[in-house]
Amino acid sequence: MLGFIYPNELEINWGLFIVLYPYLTGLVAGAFIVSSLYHVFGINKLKPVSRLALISALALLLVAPMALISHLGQPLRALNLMWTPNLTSAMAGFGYIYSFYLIIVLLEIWFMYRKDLVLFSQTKPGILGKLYSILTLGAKDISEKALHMDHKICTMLAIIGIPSAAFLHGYVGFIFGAIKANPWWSTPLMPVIFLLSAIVSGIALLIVVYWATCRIRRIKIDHDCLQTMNKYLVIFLASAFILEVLEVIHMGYESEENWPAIKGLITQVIPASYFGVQIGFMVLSFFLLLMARSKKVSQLTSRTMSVTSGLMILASVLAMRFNVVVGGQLVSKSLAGYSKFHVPLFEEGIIPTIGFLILPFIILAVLAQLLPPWMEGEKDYQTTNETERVTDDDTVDEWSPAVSSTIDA
Amino acid sequence: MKNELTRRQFLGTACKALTAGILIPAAGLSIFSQTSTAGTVTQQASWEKVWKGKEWGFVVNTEKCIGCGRCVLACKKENHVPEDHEVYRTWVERYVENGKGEVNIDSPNGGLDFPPLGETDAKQFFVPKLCNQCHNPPCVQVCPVGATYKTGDGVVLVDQKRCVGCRYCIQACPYGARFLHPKTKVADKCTWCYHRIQKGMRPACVTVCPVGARKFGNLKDQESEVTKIIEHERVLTLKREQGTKPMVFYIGLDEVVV
Amino acid sequence: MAGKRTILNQAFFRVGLLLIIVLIIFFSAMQLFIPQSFGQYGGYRGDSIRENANFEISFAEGTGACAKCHNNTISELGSAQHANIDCQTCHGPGEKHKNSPKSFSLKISGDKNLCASCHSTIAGRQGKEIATVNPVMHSGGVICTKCHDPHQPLGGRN
Repeated sequence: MLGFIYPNELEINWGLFIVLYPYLTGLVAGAFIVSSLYHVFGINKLKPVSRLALISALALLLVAPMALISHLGQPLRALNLMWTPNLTSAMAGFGYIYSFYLIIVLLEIWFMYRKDLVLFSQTKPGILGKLYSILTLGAKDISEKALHMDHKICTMLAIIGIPSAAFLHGYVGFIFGAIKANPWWSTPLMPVIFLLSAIVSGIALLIVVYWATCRIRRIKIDHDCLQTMNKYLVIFLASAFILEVLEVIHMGYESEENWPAIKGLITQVIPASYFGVQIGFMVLSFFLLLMARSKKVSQLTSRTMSVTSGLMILASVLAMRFNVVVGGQLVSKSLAGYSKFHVPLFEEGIIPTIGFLILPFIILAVLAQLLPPWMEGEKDYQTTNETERVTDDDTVDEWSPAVSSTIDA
Repeated sequence: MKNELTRRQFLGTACKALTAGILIPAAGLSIFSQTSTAGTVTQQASWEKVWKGKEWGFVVNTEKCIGCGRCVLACKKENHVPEDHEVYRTWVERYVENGKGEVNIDSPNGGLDFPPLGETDAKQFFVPKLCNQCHNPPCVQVCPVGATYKTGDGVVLVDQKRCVGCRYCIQACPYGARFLHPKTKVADKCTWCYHRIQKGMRPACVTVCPVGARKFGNLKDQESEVTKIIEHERVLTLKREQGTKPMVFYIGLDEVVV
Repeated sequence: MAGKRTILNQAFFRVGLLLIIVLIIFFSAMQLFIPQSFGQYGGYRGDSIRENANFEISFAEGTGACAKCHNNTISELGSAQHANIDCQTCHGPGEKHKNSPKSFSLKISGDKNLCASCHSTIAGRQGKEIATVNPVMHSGGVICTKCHDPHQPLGGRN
């Protein structure tokens, strides 16, 4: 403890699990935006990752509330949030916004995969076949007309999904931004900063996951797809950086009563995490991404830079969540001192946090087996040297991913 | 083609299903709930009668406080706040200016264990603190489940059975008055000894203060000592700029008080 | 036969039905789980007020409660320095003792720390209307009550 803190501030109330929740929902929002860039805005170059993005979003969406409920003092009463939400509380939004968004994502995945579910129910043996049959909900019509309707519904869901994803992560930003008692949190920019850094982390995640799954499956990475993701990442990264830095510069310039305490926080209490990881990695990644987009580097170098950049951004956004959640609580409300954060091992500690970070990928692996997201047109990089490019006028059968095309044949 | 429905047919079926689905459970539940509605009517009248004509207020005179900590201990005993944990419903802070324009602030163990710190002629005083029972409480605003509320007579209470322990209210309080109870794992805070004041007693901290630094009373009662002090002396509240409209009034605050 | 009317497919109907069933279950559960007294006085459970008002009392109201049995000691205090201090400030919570005196004793030994909590010289107390001493130097380690009767502190024992 440095200086003077109010006696009740000795214990840091919101720990690693609360750092995790915005991080995971941020990844969800980002992954969903990538998927929607294809489904709503028709950016065809992103087709190879469109389904992967959606099931990644689902995997993360399933783990996020686990972190939240584990943190509660009385987790068994968690459903009170659904029965009697207090409408003046941003946190009360969690129950309904999350449920609504989960339903949207589940529906979009269902409509997107319905044809595959029907085909699998017919071809897969035993229990698996029965499982697929149940998942089809008995809607077995896969005629051209039915599939066309599916596609329309899917697009509609994706359109509804974009503001829902914005809400899902924006309200978390508002939870922090609307607390006048905490000078590090209180700013109207908080929901926007959270959302922009969420999109950044989601795109970065998808770059890394796409690269990893291609390596594992020995498939050639679609370079155009990667470069398109790079492009959007650069745009959102720049926006997120500008807003984050603007906020601090503004505080420093106005130099209100809380400025010395804030300055002390970032320069003495969390300098490594703030300047080193959050700001530093963000700037480094920005330049790496710009270089990766240059025509002068080879594809291999470009890929390496993109993936490295993606990993650095994932670390940077995690650090940002930590700096906001824990950093904000380290500043005493007396503005006269700082608390200390003792990183626990087990109870809301490092071990379960790492568990919560790994769990979505395990779920993703399972989902990828059940609902293969791989799109047509992929080339095994062991058997061919050609680079097959997915061009803009590639309108051939949007609705047959790699697996069902082999079934048709 | 026979698997497709027209929009009209679908909407028709849906409406029928929805209406049935809501009416049937609602009817069933209203049968169960009839036994308890009788009790609620009389309860409704009772609290509002109790609250009528009452608005509690608190005055702290920092010129009298000697930092003995009796109040902190009494509160812990009266309200069963664990004495072996560093959580406090009320605490006392000490301010000692060192003559060089710097001030040393401390509140070791909530004010129960002040070290001597050496003699000095500089300005020095104690400031007892507790929940301000704000008129515009940010903690009530942010509770997601409606587990904290302001009563009609002006006290902010916690519903210990409803609180889920999310700690949002603790984050929202500008004064650091709230904490998570280490045993019950729900939010806790000073209640101005609501269980005592309903019986016409004073809060425990007011009762045991040896120098009369703490005063409590009904602001709507013209004869109560708190009303007289607020109307005749110069008083201040803490963190006025936050807009919380606190109901604890201080005599003798200094500009260094956080 | 497509015509101008949009024809919703079987899949939409199936999913729609599932959603409606989920919503019905949810709203029924909501009726079941919201406490009866919720919303009586505001956005909270009305019964909670009574719960908060019914906690166990530990400190009796004041010296008046003690006077019933201990009038002698109280008149001993007279108008001496400790006269206006509540008995419970030093003796602790008295409600249980008031109700069954023999089972809950409020006898306290001359604990030096108790006297020191008000009377030791610490920064912050200067200028207040209370006598302060350095506890160790003042008595050389001897317990306060050897020389001072707590009810007549400057009366002197010997």
